[in-house]
Amino acid sequence: MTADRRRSPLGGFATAFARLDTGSGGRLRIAERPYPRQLDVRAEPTARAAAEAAVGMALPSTPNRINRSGDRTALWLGPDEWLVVGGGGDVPAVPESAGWGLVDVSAQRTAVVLSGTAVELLAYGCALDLDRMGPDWCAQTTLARAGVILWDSATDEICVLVRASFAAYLAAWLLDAATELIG
Amino acid sequence: MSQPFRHGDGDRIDRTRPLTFRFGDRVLTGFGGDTLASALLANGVHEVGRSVDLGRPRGIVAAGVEEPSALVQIEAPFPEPMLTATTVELYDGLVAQPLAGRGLLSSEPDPARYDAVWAHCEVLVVGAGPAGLAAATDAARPGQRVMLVDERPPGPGEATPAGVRRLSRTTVVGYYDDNFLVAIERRTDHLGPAAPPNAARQRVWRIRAGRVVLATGAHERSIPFPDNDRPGIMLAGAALTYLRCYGVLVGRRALVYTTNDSAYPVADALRSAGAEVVVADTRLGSRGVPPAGNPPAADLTGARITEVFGEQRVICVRVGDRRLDVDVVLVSGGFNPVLHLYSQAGGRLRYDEDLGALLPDGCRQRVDVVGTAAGEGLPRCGPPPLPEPSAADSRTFVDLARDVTIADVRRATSAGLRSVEHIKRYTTAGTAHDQGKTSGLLTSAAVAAALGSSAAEVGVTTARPPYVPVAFATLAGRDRGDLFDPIRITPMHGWHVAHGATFENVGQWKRAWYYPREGEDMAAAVARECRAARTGVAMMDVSTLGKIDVQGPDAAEFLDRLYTNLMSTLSVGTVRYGVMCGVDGMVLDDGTAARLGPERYLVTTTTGNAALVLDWMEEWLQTEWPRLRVWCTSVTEQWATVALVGPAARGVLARVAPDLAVDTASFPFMRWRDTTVAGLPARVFRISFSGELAYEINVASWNGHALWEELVAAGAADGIVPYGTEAMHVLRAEKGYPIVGQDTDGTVTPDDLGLGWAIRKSDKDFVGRRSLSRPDTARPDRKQLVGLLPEDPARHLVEGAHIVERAPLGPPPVPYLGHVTSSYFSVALDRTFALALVASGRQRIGTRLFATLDGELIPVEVTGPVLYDPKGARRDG
Repeated sequence: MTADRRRSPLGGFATAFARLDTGSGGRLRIAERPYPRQLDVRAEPTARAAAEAAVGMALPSTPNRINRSGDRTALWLGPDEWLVVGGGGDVPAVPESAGWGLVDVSAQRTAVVLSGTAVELLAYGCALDLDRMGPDWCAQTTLARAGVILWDSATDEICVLVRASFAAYLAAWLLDAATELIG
Repeated sequence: MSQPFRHGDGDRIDRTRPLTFRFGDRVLTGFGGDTLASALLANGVHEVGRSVDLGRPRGIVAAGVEEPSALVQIEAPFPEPMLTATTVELYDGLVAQPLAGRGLLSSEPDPARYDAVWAHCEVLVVGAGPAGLAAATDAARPGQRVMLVDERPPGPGEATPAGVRRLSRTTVVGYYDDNFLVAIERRTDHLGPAAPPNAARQRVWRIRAGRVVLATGAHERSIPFPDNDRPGIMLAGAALTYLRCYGVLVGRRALVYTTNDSAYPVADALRSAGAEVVVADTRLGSRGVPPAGNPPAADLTGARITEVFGEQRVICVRVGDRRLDVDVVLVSGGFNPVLHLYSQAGGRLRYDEDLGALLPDGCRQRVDVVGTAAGEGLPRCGPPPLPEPSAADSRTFVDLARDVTIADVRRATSAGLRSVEHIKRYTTAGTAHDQGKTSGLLTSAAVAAALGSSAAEVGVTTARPPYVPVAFATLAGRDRGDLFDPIRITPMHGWHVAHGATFENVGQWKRAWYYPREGEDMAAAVARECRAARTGVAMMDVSTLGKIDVQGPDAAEFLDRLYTNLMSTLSVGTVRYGVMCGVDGMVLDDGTAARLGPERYLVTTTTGNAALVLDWMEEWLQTEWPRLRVWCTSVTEQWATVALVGPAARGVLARVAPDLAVDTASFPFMRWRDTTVAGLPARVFRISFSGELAYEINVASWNGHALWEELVAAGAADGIVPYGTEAMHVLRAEKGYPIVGQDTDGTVTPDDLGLGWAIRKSDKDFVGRRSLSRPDTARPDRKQLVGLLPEDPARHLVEGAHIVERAPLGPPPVPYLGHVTSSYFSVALDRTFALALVASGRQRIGTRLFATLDGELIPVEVTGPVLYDPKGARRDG
């Protein structure tokens, strides 16, 4: 019973995303990167080092910045909250009274990566000034009417983490917003 | 001859591009670059409609957005009500109708696309006239984003300064805090039927600017005189615009009627174009300093127009003792700098006596006003001269768009009104589509005259967004149809759709409502689904329930403070039902708390309240109890959840969860176990919202669909039936389980619901506890949840129906005892039943009351809320 029977929230959009790639002549690409490991990490200041040891990487201190380490990225979500995206292996156990906590939220959201004219596309529904975010940025905001986490996943690429139940809405919205960009 | 009033080449029109259009029943021609107004004037058409209240003929007054009067309805390509002819760009095939002040909404759907976009810049310049272009050029430098926004189409030979992003046909309509401005771009309107279908017709720009430069120019204003609304009477500056930009001579015999020097060049230009022009200046003596080359003086000074002849078109005017035959009267009563956006931004205005105008006087936002909008180059001008009170006052207009006259203003002041804001509301002056752009200061002058005050003291009303009318379709943008609001779906949604489920909206979620089979109506489907849950096995997608991971050393203490019952006494592996109250002691939400570890719980919320409960938790943690070491994380969509319900549920579960001991002793009620279900890592809860033996199986949401299909297959031998929210509602109501938000309305305590047992007896405090001891919350005659059984077991009560004590109703006021909160047909009871909140309900059990239904009074028996299996014998199967 080890067969992978998972279904990603946007599996049904693969064809539409591919059509967009063709329609835009490769200028705009949208793709789901399903099943990213996501750990929501909370830590008191004194327990920060312990939390970092548990997740195996440094957590950013600057608001709306990310740290990268191998295949993992830590996103700053709040003064005591981070999201570690990527990596694998067992979910670290939290000792009692540790002063830090952790929840596996890998299935809570799916990842959609936008490349090409991503900033132009997001401008249809995102109030942030994405041209001025600087390097290694992340943000929690709304895109259209869905809450999202945006981050600088690679050069010329923005990753949108969206809750599974909102994913189909957001995908439909993104495809609609691209109407003119592919015209 | 077509277009008899075309004269020379206007710099905005293209004579090589003739266009044909219809206005009313006339087929006319114009040129590319024309507005509907300029094309009409080129054809000698001044009258375009009738006024809103008085039905008086009205013509074209202005040449831009300030137009108070020339309203038209566009019929084709898409019907659009109430546009100003002065701002409609002409295209081939345009069909327009004159309007009488009010447009007609189309009954056809609007096929056009509308969208919105965000933009950010360091400098935003509004207005691309000379001052705006200079400001944009000045601001442009590397690394600095400069936007230049102008309401007009791009003019010929107008170069956009390097490094500047220019938006034409774009009107800034709102200026809000933090230099946030909203503009509307008309992108394809001017293309008419040739507009590409996939391009957004209009676009809302939401612009955040570091600094704003307003180069918005000025609007000329009129002068009040009797019958000053006749077609052919227009603003002097507009006549010049029509001549220079559109090559249109608005008339051949013009009276220029002015209070200031600005109209003299207009007179000169019209004369040069061959018109006969008489200049009447309201001032005594000559004008100030005559520009070089102009005729030195007015033909008439100290002049007043006292009479206008001609109804559909001015044909003659009386000025003093002279009668002048004219076909147009070109009026200049001075200028209003366009400071609507400045006012919206919070800018103050001051009245300048020299210019007879309001000028910018400081603003809390980073905004500069330049050029004419700042008063630069405006002529010296007194306040608008008003005629002596006379019977003609009721024909002397200050606001053409709203048919407001000097007499109306005087009536308002006679009624005791003093403030322009009040007079605006009393007379409606300044409330039309143009917001009084040309008339605002006239109204103020009329008020000042009536009160014996000055325009400076009276001031003007505050300009509010939008600066120009905006269509609702534009504002709606893409937020329509399926994108109107997010549709949230579960991982099993596709299965529900494929299997014919109907859906109901629960908040933003689509939940399967029931699954009708061939030939079944809703009642039959729900009955079948309920029967399966009570007699066999049924399954339901309950993934939408809110789920919150609560962890940290103080998790138990935290939950004790929020729930009315204790959660700290739960042992790991167990689950408890809990109720949360607001600070007012009223039920806020309910759900379960499962202890996952010494410092970790998983709590569930109702589907609709998941975000509210998480916010509630964070509010208490962040503002009241920051010392508690607790972290709350939403895991609603981490898990997909299936409820497996009915006497045969254990057998089905045993088949798919071989590692799980499912007997009652090993896995008792209100426990949870981690195991493998259908090969998927799962957490199984033994909880029930139906009173039957039931399990809630949780897997990672990406496995939800697989789990669902495995359970369908595993239950096939037992005839497993998927059921929806309607059957769930019936099943829970038969057991008297309330639904927060359906059986509660924010005025209901736990005890009112019969949940007094869930309120802890110990002294330990919880949110809402103090309120529960108030005399009012302890009143014995509070409304309490009870069951109702209609005496006729086939009568179905309506949710919301009032409950009264006797029939027929006595004389009013009839005491109202409460209302029906839930009402269903029960297969298990073979009859209808209802839940209701009834005053002193528990004391009335066994008595007879009446429920209203379509004017009838239906006798009902009051019962306890638990109508099915009151002993709870079915819980373990």
